[in-house]
Amino acid sequence: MSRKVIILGGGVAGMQAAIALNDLGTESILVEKEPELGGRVKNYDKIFPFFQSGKELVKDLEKRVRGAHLVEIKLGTTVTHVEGQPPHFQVRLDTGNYEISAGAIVVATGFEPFDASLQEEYGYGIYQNVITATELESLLDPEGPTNGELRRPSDGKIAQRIAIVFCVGSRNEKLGHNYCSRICCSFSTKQAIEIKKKYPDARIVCFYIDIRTYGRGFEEMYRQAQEAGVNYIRGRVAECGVLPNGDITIRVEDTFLGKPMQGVFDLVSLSHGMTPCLDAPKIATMLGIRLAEDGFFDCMDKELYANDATEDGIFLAGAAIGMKPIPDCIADSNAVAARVAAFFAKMPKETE
Amino acid sequence: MTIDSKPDWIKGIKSELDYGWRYHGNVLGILPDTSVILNESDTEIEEALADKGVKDSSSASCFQCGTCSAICPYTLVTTDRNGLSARRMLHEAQLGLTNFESEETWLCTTCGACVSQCPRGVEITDFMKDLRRIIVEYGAGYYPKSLRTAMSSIASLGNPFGEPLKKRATWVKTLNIKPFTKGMELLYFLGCFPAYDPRVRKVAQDIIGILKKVGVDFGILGSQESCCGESVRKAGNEELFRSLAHSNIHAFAENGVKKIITTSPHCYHTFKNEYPQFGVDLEVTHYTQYLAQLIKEGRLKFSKALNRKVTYHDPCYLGRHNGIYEEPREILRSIPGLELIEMPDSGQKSVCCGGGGGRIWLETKKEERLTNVRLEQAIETGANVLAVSCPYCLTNFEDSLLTVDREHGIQVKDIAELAWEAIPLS
Repeated sequence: MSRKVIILGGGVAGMQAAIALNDLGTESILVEKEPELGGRVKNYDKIFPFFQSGKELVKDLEKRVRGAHLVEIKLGTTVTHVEGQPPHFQVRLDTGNYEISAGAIVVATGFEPFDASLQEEYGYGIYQNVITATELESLLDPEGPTNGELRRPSDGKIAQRIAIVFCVGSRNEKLGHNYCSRICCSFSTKQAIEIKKKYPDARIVCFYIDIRTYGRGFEEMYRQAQEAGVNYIRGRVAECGVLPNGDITIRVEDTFLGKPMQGVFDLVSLSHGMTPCLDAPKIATMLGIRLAEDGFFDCMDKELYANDATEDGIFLAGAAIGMKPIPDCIADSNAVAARVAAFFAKMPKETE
Repeated sequence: MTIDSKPDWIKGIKSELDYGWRYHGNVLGILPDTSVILNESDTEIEEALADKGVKDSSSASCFQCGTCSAICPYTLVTTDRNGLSARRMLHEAQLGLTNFESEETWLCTTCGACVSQCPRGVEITDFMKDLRRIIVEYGAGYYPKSLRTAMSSIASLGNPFGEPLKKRATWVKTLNIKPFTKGMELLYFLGCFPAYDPRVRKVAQDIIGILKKVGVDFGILGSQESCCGESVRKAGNEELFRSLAHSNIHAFAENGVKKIITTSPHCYHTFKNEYPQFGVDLEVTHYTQYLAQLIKEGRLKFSKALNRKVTYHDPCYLGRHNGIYEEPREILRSIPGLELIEMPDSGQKSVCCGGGGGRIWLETKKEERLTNVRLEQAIETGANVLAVSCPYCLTNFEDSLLTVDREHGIQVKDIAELAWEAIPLS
């Protein structure tokens, strides 16, 4: 049998899985559909909660994965066909007319940001100054389109009044996303602090349903934001409107005061949640594994085998099994490496 | 809640030690105890709430985000924190602490703006209806007097205006149209308003005029017609609603009615979405849908130009509740010379006139009238006609026209009136 592992996805989870497998002496092929490694994280100037550089993190992982002698990297490549029973998978790629024998497959295909225009009441795509958190991220990036200046799209004015709307596309039955995307409270709070650091006089209001800063260092970051003067109002924004000068009005109830409110902002950032990667259904069919009700890949057992897919020999890491912060993705990948090693160890020793 | 209303076991153990501010072990003072008992709530209320599903089904999944109370049209006229707050009422119901004495239970117009956006899919208008039902059926809590009067008038006379039943028949006679008989294509269900309200009567007359002009084979039920019961049900009087429904369904069956058009979106909604629960299967259309269909088929043509700027107000029960946004506009667009302008809040975002949910029978404080806000919006567009397609909207807007204190040349007209005007007399 082959003891080679095919890893789908070259983001942080996929790269770390390859590195961890390499450390265990296992060969792998890292397949990434984009022409470069790093997935979503390579675009983030700062990551929460410690304000480190996402770009640097990706560079570091990339250096290590490229230096790993048991890892073969295939960029601009997708897996097109998989057949055979574990541990005898035959895998075909779209870049070569040959089959690869693999003993196990790791799915680390990540996520897709929720399409904020589907939550029509916020007017994303119609009102220029309603942007997504991903767009805010690039506005705050010194290497981004505005060189890190918070210039709003309509007239290039530096935004002084900023509303950050949490839970956009998450926790919403109407949109079929009943789940919490888990990282939005934290990355939004991180963004609020960044704005406050650069523009101390900016007025920033975060509108939330519940604050879920549950990870190590997250709550401290929330406190840091409050102490920096970021306002948090408990109420879900009901709708946005636009004024002739491009300012955005919002309607919300401050549920602690029991008072309906209206506010005018220069810029509104929608902290969109995440959906499974768009290819998830296709990949699931190709591999013969199940998706869970939320659309992310289902696990063999949600408590005991959270990194095992619903079929033997296929393993799951990172945001493919639900949204999580970067350290959790890395932990997933290490767990997956251990699960792959255990899977191979259980196999009868045969002559290869 | 005061201490006297608390259960004995709490009163019994009340002492300085139990209810004091303490500082380093010393009692500094006794607190006036106004707290609410969570674990000993009124079992009768709890049971009533559970019985009607208010506590368990309709409020249970609310997570208190406040979308409902922020989008509620009342925020346009008041931000009084003691005003209508669906969010707070849902939470009170979850805890079994509903205040049935509160006036806010009766403020909701069931316009459905909240329901259309609730991220947890809570059926808030059903919740309001169920709360009112508890008040009506258990005789507990505040039940507005004018609503009580309208309901008893509907019960005894079949109409909410307290007018004799005979009058319904008399006005119908003046119309000179055939009573509905078996085999006719269409029943025109007039509704209560045209029979007793001269302003809305004009609308019904114009609809009849158009139907006759086109040569539609239609009839009316005359005095066999009862109130559809829409506002009755929303006002919590389920029993009366059922008896009205049965009386109408009986009349439909007796006369072999298969296809109905209505003046009011409220009658339309009730026949279409609520009567089927009693096992009737009718083809129901609102008159705007019917006229749009006639236009499409080439049977109805407008040849007289109306050189007016018109803005259209979507009624809640046509728009949000039933998704009918296009047909009324199609009628307006096919009138030559007519320019249709939209208000910023149109379609799904339309602002309620304040007449739904039984509110039409209740007095609304002058400063809390939603039509005043809406009329301002209409005037802002520069339109000279505000078009409506619901008797409640028409009535409320006509009222507001009398109170608006700025220069304007706006008129309120039903779409049927505009359509009739665009047909030349021959």
